[in-house]
Amino acid sequence: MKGTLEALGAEIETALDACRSEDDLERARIAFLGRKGRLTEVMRGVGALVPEERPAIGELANALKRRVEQRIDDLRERWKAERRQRELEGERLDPTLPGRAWPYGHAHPLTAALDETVGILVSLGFSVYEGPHIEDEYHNFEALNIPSDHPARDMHDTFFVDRTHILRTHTSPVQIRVMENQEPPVAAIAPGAVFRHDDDVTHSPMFHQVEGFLVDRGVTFAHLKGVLSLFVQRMFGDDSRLRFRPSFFPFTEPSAEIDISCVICGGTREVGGAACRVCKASGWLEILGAGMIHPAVFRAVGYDPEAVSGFAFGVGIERVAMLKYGINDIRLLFQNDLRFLRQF
Amino acid sequence: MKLTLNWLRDFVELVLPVDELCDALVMAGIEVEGLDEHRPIWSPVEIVELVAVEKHPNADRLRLCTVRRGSAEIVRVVCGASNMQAGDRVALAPPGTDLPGARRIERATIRGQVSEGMLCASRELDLPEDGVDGIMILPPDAPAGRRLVDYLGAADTVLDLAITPNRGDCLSVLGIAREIAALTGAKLHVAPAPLHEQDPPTGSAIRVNVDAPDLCPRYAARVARGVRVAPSPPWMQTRLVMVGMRPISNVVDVTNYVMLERGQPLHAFDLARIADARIVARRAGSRQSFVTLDGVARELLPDDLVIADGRGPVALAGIMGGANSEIRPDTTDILLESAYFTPSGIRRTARRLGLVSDSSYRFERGVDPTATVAALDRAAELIAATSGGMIASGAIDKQAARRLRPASIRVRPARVNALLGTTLTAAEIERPLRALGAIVSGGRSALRVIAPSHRSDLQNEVDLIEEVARLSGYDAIAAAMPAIVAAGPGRGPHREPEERLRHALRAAGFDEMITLAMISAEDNRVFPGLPDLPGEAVALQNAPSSDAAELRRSLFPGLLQALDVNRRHGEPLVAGYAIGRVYARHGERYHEGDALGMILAGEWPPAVIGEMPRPATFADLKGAVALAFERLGLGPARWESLESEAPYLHPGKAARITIAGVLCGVAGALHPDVATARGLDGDIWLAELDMVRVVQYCPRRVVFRPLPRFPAVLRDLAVVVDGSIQAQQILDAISEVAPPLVEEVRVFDQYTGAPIPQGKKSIAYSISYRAADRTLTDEEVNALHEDLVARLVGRVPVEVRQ
Repeated sequence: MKGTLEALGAEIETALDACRSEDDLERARIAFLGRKGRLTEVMRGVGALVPEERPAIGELANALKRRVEQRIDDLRERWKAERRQRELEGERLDPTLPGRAWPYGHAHPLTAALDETVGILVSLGFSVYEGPHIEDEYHNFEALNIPSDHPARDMHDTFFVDRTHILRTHTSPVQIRVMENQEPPVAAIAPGAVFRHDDDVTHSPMFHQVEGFLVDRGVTFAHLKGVLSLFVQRMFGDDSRLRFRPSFFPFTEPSAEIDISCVICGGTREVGGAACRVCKASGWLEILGAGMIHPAVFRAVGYDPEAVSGFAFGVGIERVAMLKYGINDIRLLFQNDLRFLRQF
Repeated sequence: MKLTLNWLRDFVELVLPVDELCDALVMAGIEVEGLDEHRPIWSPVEIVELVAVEKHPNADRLRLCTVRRGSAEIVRVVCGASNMQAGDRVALAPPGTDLPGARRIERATIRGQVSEGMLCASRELDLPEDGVDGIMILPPDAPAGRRLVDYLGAADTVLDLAITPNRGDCLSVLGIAREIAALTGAKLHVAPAPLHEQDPPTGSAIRVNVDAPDLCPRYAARVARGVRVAPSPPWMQTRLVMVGMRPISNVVDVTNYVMLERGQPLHAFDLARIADARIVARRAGSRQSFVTLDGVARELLPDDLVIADGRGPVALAGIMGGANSEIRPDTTDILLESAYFTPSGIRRTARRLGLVSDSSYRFERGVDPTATVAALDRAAELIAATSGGMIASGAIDKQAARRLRPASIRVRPARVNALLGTTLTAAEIERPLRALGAIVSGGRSALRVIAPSHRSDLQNEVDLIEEVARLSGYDAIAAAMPAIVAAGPGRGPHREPEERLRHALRAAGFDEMITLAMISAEDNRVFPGLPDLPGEAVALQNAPSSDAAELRRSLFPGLLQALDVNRRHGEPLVAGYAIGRVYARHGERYHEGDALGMILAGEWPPAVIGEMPRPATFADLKGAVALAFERLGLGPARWESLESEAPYLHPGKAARITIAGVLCGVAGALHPDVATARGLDGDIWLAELDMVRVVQYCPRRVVFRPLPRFPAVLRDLAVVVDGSIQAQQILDAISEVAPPLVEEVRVFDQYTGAPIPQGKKSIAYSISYRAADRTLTDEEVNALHEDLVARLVGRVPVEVRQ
């Protein structure tokens, strides 16, 4: 009996090894383990054995049965896994194909520069005010100490709307409007579009400025230097250097133009051995106009120039954006070419 | 303004190297815009005397010239020109000289004759054109042996300076020399003009009256007789050309030269053409036409200042002379004018006539009223030297009774320090003011300062404070931080919502655009803005072009232009928005408000490989607007069909958007006819919103709503309606009949086609029921829903689908 079991065991092994499909396996299972299967029949014969042999042979037969069942299960599992693997491999994608270009809009570089400028100045304690674009000559010129026969009007190529109205040529009239309505101390900024009749390739008839001014007791030129230095360093980096040059604006005195060390050559005046083209090898780039508010401006708004003093500054946002991003043509800022806008 | 370093050296020693000098000028407020070194490569060219001119023995068209060089050496030169004769001073390029155009002169044998160099024509040296056919013939007094480059002053450095409008005194070589003297401590030297005057006196040749002393406080004149009008000497022409002025004749060049040198504009009249030997500075008195020397007839107003003779105007005072009295080739006697004209009067006339001359530019900015005669004498000296004229004795000098006198200005050191944030002593304040040439007196608490006469810009204490800061150097003022404590609106009421809106639109895939405020009148006519934008378009009086004639009423023209630009380079999708101001005139008043414009055209969303691209639809645009509204926290906006309020939109594909019953915007497809007229095709979706109104409906803060504790129960309702019925109409009707337990009603499907009859459509709504205090039972909801349906059917013509 034992010999029979061993022979059958070997035969089953051979049969299972020959199985190539689940059908083969099922047929083999039925042939050996089915109701009329060979092993089943052998096991049925165990009952007919003498009682002494029964436990040992029964044990052998059961062990063989468990081994065969296990073997069949293992084969099934393995084939299933292999089949699943083949299925999954058939679903393979190409991860090198492009992803969906999720549309996400871009901020215009001018807005970005304007927001950053306003953000820095608001963090310093300045409040935002706005004024009309269609301005009267009084607020744009006279109140700012630019009488009609003053040559300084030549600095402003003005668009005229009617006999008394123009398009504001700078954001400075907002100074007047704020001071007309508020007693000092005043810490204000005025961002917005301004207009000049420039046909030049380096100018746009519409551009953007941020005006800022601080009026209080004891405000000095030293304070102007402090605030603008901080502003420039936050905007262009801590290693930016500043230069204050005397200049002329009718509504400030002393007046200054402020240069920063060239953002391209870092003030070294050259790039790779050649003269820096951005700063024209001067090492400096003009970025701001500023000064102490002129007593005539204070008188125009009813402030006492002996009691309060103040500084004012104006920064051109196109210039800031162009320097910050290295843009070399102002017209790009207004063409809305998506190839340009999508870079920001 | 251009000037040369050697010209400056006539007045001041330049102790700094040129780059440091430029830095010093820049840091004193005079921008150096250009620095141009003239170093002629032909520097060996020498002035020589022509001893003999013979025909070349072997060539008909060549001359054999014998010249004496400075070393007394006699050399022979072959020359192709024939305009010279023995005794002339000419320019010899000896062997080894380089000439412009990469030419090098060498000893040569020309047709058997040795030539020791070349005699030069002016154009061969890149010198001002002398109009001569042949070689350059120099004046007889040109010193033989001297290098031509030194004789002409052709090796020099030209500075191009930007002078701010307040510094009229810097519009001259002398003015800049003064500034350099003040900055470097070098001494200024101005030599008086040596004049050889001859009787009869000036007064016998001309009488001068000033009838308008308010416009002409000072008028001085001289007369030169026996002048020979000819080209000015080469050195003067060289300098004039270097600084960008065209040489004309000796007389005219002298007036220009002295103007550039002294800052005092001058004018020369042909004395023979001054009627009645009489000059009057007076108002024109009546409207009249006057021909200036550029040949243009100018319309004069009664108040314009003219210089007149016995007949009428001979010059537009301080601006331009008249054609009737200008210097001509045959002029022999001249009248030289040097005057001080009031800046505002000159500016008024020059501005009105659109006529800016070098003269008016300087008068407008204020010339030195005390230097009138010095400049006149300098010009007379040069006229005598360059044209052989004799100067009549005595200058005429008419001055207004009330002399132009510089003001005495109080300067308080305490005020200086309070404004600058410095701790300067009175002596430290005094020093730079004295360097300027101011007269300073007074004590510790206040200085008395009399500004120099050429500084008409120094009128008040603050003007002098600026001078102290400027000359001490802005670098000397240490930066300090102020304590900024002021009431104010912070970022202001609308920056925050506007930023949220911009973020939302960008998240929805729209790129931000900035378009110009100026557009064409035609664009404003086609796109008149939101239906209730008041008034009419604002036109510019001096528009740069018809494309920028008016201020926009709508952002659409700019966005459509952006679409066009991007389509031209093949962009498959343009999704953009712009926030910008729109403008309208309302009677005497102007309306300005910010608008939001959106444009969407092309494939949306961008397809990937394997998908079919589809064109953007109205729903894509509406969804983006809805996203923006949601981010702004706005309540429900109503979208309704637009009637005829926006004729530029497709009549069937357009909507008006209202919030709380107020019209806030429009959206829809660009009218196909408008699109075609602009060369655009395909569906172009547009939206425009009134930002002021949208922001007005934004909640200032977000308020938390508790989460529902009990579930909602949904019931669907499909109705068949007439094809013309819009989803919102039924939705409104459902809302009207809905019991309080209805939480939300929304459209979730629409269908046409079988089995729905032709001309009808099916719309499906999802109705959500919810109670705040319990879970609703099916029976309860069924009853509510049946009741709702029954009431709906009784109210609107719908057929409920089962």
